[in-house]
Amino acid sequence: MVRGIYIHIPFCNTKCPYCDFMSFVSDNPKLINDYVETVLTELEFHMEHNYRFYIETVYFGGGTPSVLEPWQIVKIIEFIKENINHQKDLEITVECNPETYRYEAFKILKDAGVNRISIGNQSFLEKNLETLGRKHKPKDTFEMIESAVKAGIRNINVDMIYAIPGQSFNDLKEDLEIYTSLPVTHISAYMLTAYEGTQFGNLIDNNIISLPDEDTSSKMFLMVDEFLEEKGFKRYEVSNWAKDGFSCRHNLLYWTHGEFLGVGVSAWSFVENRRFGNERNFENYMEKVKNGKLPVAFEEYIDRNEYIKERIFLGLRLRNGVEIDILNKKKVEELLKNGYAEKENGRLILTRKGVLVINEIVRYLLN
Amino acid sequence: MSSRQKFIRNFSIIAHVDHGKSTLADRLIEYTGALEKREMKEQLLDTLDIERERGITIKLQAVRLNYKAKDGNTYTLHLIDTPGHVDFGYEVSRSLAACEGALLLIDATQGIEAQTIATFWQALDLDLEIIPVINKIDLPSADIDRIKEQIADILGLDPDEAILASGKAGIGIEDILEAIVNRIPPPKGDENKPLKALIFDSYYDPYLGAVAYVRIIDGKVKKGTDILLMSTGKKFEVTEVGAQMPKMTPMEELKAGDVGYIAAAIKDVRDIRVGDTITDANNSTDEPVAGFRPAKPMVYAGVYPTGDTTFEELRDALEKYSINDAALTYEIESSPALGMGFRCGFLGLLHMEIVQERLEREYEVEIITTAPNVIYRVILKTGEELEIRNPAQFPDPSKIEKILEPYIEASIISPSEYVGAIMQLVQERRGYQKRFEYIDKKTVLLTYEIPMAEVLFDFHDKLKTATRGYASFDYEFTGYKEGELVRMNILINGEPVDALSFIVHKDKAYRVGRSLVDKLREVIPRQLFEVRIQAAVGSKIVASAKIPPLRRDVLAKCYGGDVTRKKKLLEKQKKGKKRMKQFGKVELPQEAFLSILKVE
Repeated sequence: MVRGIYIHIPFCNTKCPYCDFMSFVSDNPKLINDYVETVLTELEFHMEHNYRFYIETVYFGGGTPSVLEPWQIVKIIEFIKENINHQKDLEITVECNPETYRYEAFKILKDAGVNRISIGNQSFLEKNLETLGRKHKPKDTFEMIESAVKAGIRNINVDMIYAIPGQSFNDLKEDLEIYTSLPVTHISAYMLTAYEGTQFGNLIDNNIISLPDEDTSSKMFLMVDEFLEEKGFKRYEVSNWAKDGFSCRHNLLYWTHGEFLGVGVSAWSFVENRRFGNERNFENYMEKVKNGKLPVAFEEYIDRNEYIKERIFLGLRLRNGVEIDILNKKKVEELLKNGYAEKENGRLILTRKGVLVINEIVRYLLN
Repeated sequence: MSSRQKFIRNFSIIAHVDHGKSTLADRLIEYTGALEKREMKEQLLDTLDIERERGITIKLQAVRLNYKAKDGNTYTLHLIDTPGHVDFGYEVSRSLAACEGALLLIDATQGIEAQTIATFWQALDLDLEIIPVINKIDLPSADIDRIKEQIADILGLDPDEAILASGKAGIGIEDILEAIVNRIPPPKGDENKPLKALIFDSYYDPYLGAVAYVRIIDGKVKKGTDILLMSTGKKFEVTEVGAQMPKMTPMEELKAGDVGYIAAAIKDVRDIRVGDTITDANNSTDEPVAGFRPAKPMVYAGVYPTGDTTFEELRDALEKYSINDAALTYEIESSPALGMGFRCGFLGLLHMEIVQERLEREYEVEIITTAPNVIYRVILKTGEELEIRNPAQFPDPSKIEKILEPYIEASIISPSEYVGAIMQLVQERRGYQKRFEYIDKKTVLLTYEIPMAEVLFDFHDKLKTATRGYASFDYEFTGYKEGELVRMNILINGEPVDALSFIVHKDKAYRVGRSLVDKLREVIPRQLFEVRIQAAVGSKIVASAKIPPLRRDVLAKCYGGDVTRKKKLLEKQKKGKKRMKQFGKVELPQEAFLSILKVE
């Protein structure tokens, strides 16, 4: 049963140096409109496929979905609502960059059913924003939150990045205080990662900048986690904190093997035990769909073995953990003994200490 | 002697590593026109990639050249290449035995080195005509007078007969060719006598099977001849004979004095033993060529599959590899720490490195190698004698009457100013001095007896460091002597890791244990759990260290599109750790098993 739809909007006003999503800079309205039409065509292909749909979530991610005109987003939502079996209580999220939508836009979106936004803020300290190559100012985010709330959108996530070159513990604390003083329900906080092939990755590889050391960044994680928990944001995933009842239902599908369909360039899907990804090249994507073909470029069948692997490495990211039955008993004992994990209702749940070395724990359990 | 034989010359080139042997050989090939210049690859004789990379020659080969001399006659020259490393000393002696003469190549900037002298003595014992060649004379630091002095003093040769040359610049090539023709005697031998051929090398050809490189001493051989390998008594029918010109070229017949190859659809290269004699099965010679001895491994190490490689895959790789390398021996062993693998015997450390590299590169197996060790002899209180090729098999000390270890005689040539440093190094290695001679005003030849285990690892490097690279070193196995040796066990989290155990002299146990534990702490990466490392002799812990657990990973996002990518990343990390072995909950990298080699 397909439970979520992801729509990838690859356009951005600028490309951030750390970003490894498929995105590029464009403000050509013709191109953007052409893309929206193509995405709808792709959705039609999937509907012909006879998947069983019962949609709970719709998520516009990017890139920057908020470079679209609000009516373009509305058009996609209406298409989905009209053509695809869905539940009444849909979670519809739109990722927004702080300097884009304001009240008028949010009003239109809200009327079409958008009830959650996710703001690519990253930090409220100007020096961090500069290091990260972000063009917006802190006040843009304040304005955006205010106008969204005014339009009736109250489920708001704000992204945060920490362990940034030059960031001190005081900087981090200051940032956290601002985040938690806002009327938001959800905070996604990531350690800055220098992905291979990104501008940031190259700077790190060439020793032009350096990330904080192991000690500092692990203390920063602990600081973030403790601070947010204290303010009522619970960590339900390695990088996600939410107030009670506001976990992102769409993202939870990814971590629990819920079926979802992704449309748009480079979008991924997981349906009927197949994980497949669309063309990453914009032109190829457009051409394939226009020629009546599914734009799939990569496909993988998740057999029992792969499924268990994925359950372990995805499940351990979650506060709910993973069922102990599928794990090696001796290894579980070692993890418990060393304080990396706890047992709760037959599930293995990582402690803070464990979360910090999650990759190593996954490797240990999978080997 | 037939008139044909009068125009044959068989020679090899004696040289220290880096003294320019391969370059000179290339020039000789080029000058005699055996190959067009455009066909020449640099250093043609070194055919294996690894040889080329390391700049050393492993496999010897023979090249046939035609040279029109100044006397108007055309001569057939057989250049027999020799390996330039001490591990392959026996092969060198067999190559020399196939010749009547040798060029003794000396680097004009370096002077004579220990290995050259050792080979020179072998050549003299075989009554070879020696032509000294001073090479690299075009270099600014060439010191020809000093080299001439050494030639007179050390080798006892007439320095005025030395030819001045430069392989690189092409100087003296004709002089060398003329000297070969005029000074080296033609081969003796009678082609009407029964076949007698000396094997000096072998290799495996996918079409011909195992091929023997031979010098025909007496008689003749051609396609269809039934041959007998005298050391094993095995018989084969010859399918092809020929010579390298330098490409493999089939010929009608090989006769007394010739150097060439014999193929006889032989499946196993181990049937062709270097030093063995081939004769006619129906008309055999009375007497094989003297001096045959089967290749004997001096060093043993465990070789185990790791990563994606299975035991069966490694066994296949070893089987395939060893048809081309008769010197490698292997037998199945199993280690509690490493699982099923092989105990492999090597001629020396270089040989071991070559085998390891070629297995991985050409046979695509992932392996982990344990520290090499020499062969110990243990005499039990019951009088029983054991040969120990793996420290893990050492019997309980209470049952041991005495332990014998192999010794070598080491010859070291060095500028005299470094004598003190050398003496100190040798003393640390439990060696004692046997002789001390000046070979010219500034150069000494030192002879020591040293336990082989002490020179096995880094002795050569240390010697080079102590003498700023000036000393050279050669050795020869001399025999077994009693030693006060103990087995050092390495414990990881309290469990002994058999593959890390080694034998050490009692007096050095504490220091070596400490140093090894420190080294292990460096090379074992931080992991999820604390790692405790201990070195123990019997039940006594002599050193210990702890590796604290890992502090953190990168906590990155993971959404729909990241799942596959992240999974791949995890796989990649697993691959990156391919040379790791899981031991309990600890992962040990390959370096851990070789740490003992780096102990200070």
